[in-house]
This record gives sequence, structure tokens and C-alpha cells, in this order.
Amino acid sequence: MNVLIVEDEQNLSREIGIFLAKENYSCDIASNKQEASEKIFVNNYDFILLDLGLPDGDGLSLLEEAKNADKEASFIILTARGATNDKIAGLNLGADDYLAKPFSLPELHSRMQAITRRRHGLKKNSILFFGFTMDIPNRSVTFADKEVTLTKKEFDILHYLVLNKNRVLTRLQLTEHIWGNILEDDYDSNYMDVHIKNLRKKLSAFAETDWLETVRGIGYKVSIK
Amino acid sequence: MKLRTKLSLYSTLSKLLVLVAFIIIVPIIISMVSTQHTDNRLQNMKDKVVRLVNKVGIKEFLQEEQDSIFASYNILKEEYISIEATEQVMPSVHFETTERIIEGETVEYRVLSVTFIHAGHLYLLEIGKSIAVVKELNSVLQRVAFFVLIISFAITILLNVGYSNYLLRPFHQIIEKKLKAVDNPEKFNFENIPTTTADFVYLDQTINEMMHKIKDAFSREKQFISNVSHELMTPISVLQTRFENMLSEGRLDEENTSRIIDSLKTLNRLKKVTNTLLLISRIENEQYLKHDQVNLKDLAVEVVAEIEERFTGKNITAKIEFTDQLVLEHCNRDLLFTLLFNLVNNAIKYNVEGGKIWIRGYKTPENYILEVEDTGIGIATENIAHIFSRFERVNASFTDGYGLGLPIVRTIADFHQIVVVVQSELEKGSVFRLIIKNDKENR
Repeated sequence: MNVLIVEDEQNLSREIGIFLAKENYSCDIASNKQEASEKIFVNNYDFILLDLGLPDGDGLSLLEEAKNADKEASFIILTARGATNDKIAGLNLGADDYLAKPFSLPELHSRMQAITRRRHGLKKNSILFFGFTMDIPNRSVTFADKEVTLTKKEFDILHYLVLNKNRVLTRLQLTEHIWGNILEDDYDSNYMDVHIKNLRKKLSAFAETDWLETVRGIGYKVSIK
Repeated sequence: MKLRTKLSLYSTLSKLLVLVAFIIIVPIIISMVSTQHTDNRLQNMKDKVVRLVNKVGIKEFLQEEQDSIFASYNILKEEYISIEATEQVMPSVHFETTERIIEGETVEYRVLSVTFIHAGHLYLLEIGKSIAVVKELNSVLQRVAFFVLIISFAITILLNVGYSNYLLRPFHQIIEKKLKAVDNPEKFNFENIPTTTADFVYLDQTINEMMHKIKDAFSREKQFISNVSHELMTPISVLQTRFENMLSEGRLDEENTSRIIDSLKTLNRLKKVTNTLLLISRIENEQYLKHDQVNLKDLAVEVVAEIEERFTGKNITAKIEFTDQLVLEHCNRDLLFTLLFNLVNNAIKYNVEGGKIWIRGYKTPENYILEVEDTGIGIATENIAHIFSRFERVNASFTDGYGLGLPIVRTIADFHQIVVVVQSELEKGSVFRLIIKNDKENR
């Protein structure tokens, strides 16, 4: 899939590019509005990651232009301005999602996957792994048609790990995904370990869970070969 | 006392003064005028009698055989005339008010006495006119005057109150529409209040000028927050993505991996601090809308559900006890959620293993109270004053601090005009009490 990263901070667009390349996206980078505008009209992108504060103009007008030109790309707004007005304006103009900087890369990836699933209808609304079936719209996990009762948070954690399979997610990244919208300073907690422990206990009642690995000193990983 | 009341009171008192003076003076004037009038008539009558005597002669009035007095009364004794011979000359016409007993009845008369010479003899002529009539008339006139005065007094007072109300209306409009809207300079209405009173026009203009300045300061601050946010968050973003990429490449040895993890934690701390500062600034800059309705009990249930795992992790039991319900109008749901989340989170964080937490909601005569009580480590009395201060560390033993949570709580509470009160005892626990004014319900 083709992604255009519109971001004036080149260090950031490079890092995002490195990350997405590993996820088999092919990335283009534009560092100002004009460059972005040209690229959007010449190429067809699946995703446009749009920073709002561009040196030569507001990213929102770029979004408006592209939408008017009937471009099919999905827009994710990345901004550090953080004003609620920007968020509302962006979503009203037809952006698909909104991420406040700084965000974590797996978070960006899972948002992109969510958009992809939405775009392709309900074709791929469940994920299969080691005999478990994760039904995303219904937020449920079953094993051989038997339901695994998970709490909301446990489902979210498992979903996030599965989406970012074969990648180590730090406790911090998981915490941020689960409680990201709440501003509090209890970042050093080991609540995540409690969640994972409970999750393992519930899943192991049905099957082996050695695929849900603890990576010492870092975090957790779901290995799906 | 209100200006309007003062003005009305002043005008009423001054009118009352005039009225009292009038009521005292009017009878005097009326009696003076009527006496003058009676005297004139008596004078005329005297002239007539003298002329008559000159014409018909004194004999018609005085007969020799009688005791040389002529007296005549009309039937109702309203007037009388008497003529008698006298030796004493009166220098001029004399008026007096005296009582005369006539046929056993005391009647008050205004009496004119004068001496005149007829045919070489000196006579004393007295003409009396009953002033009972005059007195009656006087009292009638007084009453009429009194009523007219009272009525006109009442009318002018009403007019006065009405007019001062009308006159002061722009003043109240300025207060209601302008001064009370100071909290939200973004939406301030600069339209002039319609008035022809120069003083109010001046006041209105001055307030508008002031608001322009406040509005400018506000939008500058907004711009500043936005810029700071951009300038700080972008580099944090760069570092975070770079560290995350380094981690996920998996080429680091264990030692460097843990260094990167630590850096990410530090970075996260920086991010939270910055976000907290920005959140507080944005709230103080009125960048949040208050368009939500929140049932506080539902909010409490939601907050508890959100951090349920933290309770179980520490074996803490939480009880939600609402004896009264409150739906808070015109508030920001997300912010209130953050407020309560922080209070409950602190109650967990500073609680003991197996402790308890109560979230209560109840009404008092004046207020609605939402409180979070814990059985935690408590706060020393001397530290309570500091826990809400932004990033203030009271002393070394207070190392963990109440961190960023409580400054957020305070700012959100202030934004909603909610008062936060803390009660705490070391080693026993704390109560954080949110006092919500009852009228918030309807606002």
C-alpha cells in the first residue's frame, strides 16, 4: 500500500517511513504543502498521514483540496497542536482518524489497519490465531465456538498485540493504547502485567498460550509465524 | 441598598417633606385668605349700612323709647348688625374674632366695629359675620387640598420609580450582558447597549475597550499554547518514534535495550508533564466547551469500571454510594471524567493493600457533595495546602508527591465552579470533597 507522509519535521517523517517500510508499505515523503499537493495529484495513495502545521500553510486546506479532487486516500491527521477545534474540523472535512503527537508507531499501525478493514467492508472482520477466533466488530474471542470471556481491557490488549504480531510491544505502548486518552501520571505501574497474567489464565483454559511471550525487560509479543 | 431604591427613597422623602410643609401652610393660607375675604365683605356691608343710615335716617334703626340699641340677626344667625349710641370715638375700623352668645347659643363671629357720626351724634356700628361657615369651608378646602396632594404624591412616586427603572435599565444590561460575560472573551458581544445617558455610554465603551484588551490577551495566549504545543511535541515525537524503531529492529543488546526503555519512560514522563501543562493552560484559556449533561453517579460507575483492574491489583474494595442523584448541566464530560479518574486513581495509589474506597454523592441544604474517601496513607496537615500546587514538592519525604493529578483536579473543578475540600489524617486516609453549588443543577 502506498503512503504519503506529509510532515515538515524530517526526522519524524524518516522514522515513520522506516517503520512503515518494515510493515511493507511503500512510503513517500513531503515536507511542505506545495510538495504534498503535487504528489497527491500525481500519485494515488492509500494513506496520507497529514501534519497540520506545515511551513507554507495549513494542512486542513490540503485535506479539503484532496477531498474536492475526489482522491480516495484515507487521511490520518497527525498534529501536535492538540486543539480540539482542529480535531473536529479535520474529522468534519473527511479525515479518517486523528492522532495527537507524540504517538507510538504501533498505535499508528493499528489505526491504519482499522481503516483498511473499514474500507474493505466486513470481509476481514475476524482474525484467526492458534485456534482462537477474534471477532472484531463483536469484540469477542472464541475457541472452537466456545466463548473466552474477556474484559474490555483484556480484549483491547489482546487485539493490539495480535494486530502488531511478531513485534515486541513495551508496557508503555500497551498502557498508552489502553489508557491513552486519560491524562494521568501513573505510567510506571505494573497493571499491564496483571492484565497479561489474567489474559493468559483465561486463554490457557482452552489452549497453550506460549505464543503470548514475555520479552524480559521490554514487554510482550505475540508470535505468529 | 440598590441605586434604584436609593433614588426612589430620596425622591419620596423630598416629596414627603414638601407635602408636610404644604399641609401645615395650606390651612394658614386658606384662613388668611378667607379672613381677608370676610373683612372685605364686612367693609362693604358697613358702607352700605352707613349709606342707608344717611339715606333713611337713624330713626329707622333706633327708637327713643328703647334702650338706644339696634340689633338685627338673620334667622340662621349668620350675620348681625347692631347700632348704638356711644361717647367714645374709635380711631378707625376695627376687626376682631369673638364669641357672642345669641339666644343661648355661642356663635363665633368675625366682627367689624366702627364709630360714625350721624346728625351730630356718635354711634357705634358693629357688623358680625359667623365664621362657622368660613371654618367649615376652610376644612372642606383643606381636605380637598390634602387629597389632591396625596394623589399627586402617589402618582409622582410611581412615575419616579418607573422612570428611574427605565433610566437605570442600561446599567443592569451592562452588568448582565457585559460584565458577567467576562469569563468568555471569545464570545463577548461588543454591541453597544442602547441608551442616551452619556454616563452609561461611557461606561459601556470603557468596558468594551477593556474587553478588547482581554480578548487580545486571550487569543495571544491561545496562539502561544498552540505554538508551545507544536514546538515541544514535535521533538518528543521524533525521539519516541526513533527509540521505538531502535527497539523493534532488535539489534540492541540487553543493556542498550533497557537504556532505550528507560529513555522512553523518561520521554513519556516529559510528554505527560507537557500535556498536563497544556491541558491546564487550555482549560484556563476557556478552550473547552461546557455543553454536556452528566449524571454524576453514572460517571462514578464509569470511572470505576475504567480502572477496575487497579482495584483488584491491590485488593481494594470500592463502594459507590449515592443517596441523591445529580445531573450536572453545562459541563464538560471528558474533563469531569478526568477529574474523577484522578481522584479515584489517587485513592488507589495512596491506599494500603486491601484498603477501601468510597465514592459518595449526597445533598446538603445548600450544596451537592461528591466525595472520594480512602483508607490510605493520608496527607500531613501542613502539606494539604500544597498538594494542589502545580508541580510543587513539599519536602523530601513527600517524594512521590500527589504528582500531576491534583493540579488537574483543581483546574477542572475551578472551570466548573466546583470547590475542592480535603480532609486527611496520616495513616488513616483522606477525603476529597467536591462541593457543587445547588443552583448549578439548573444553570
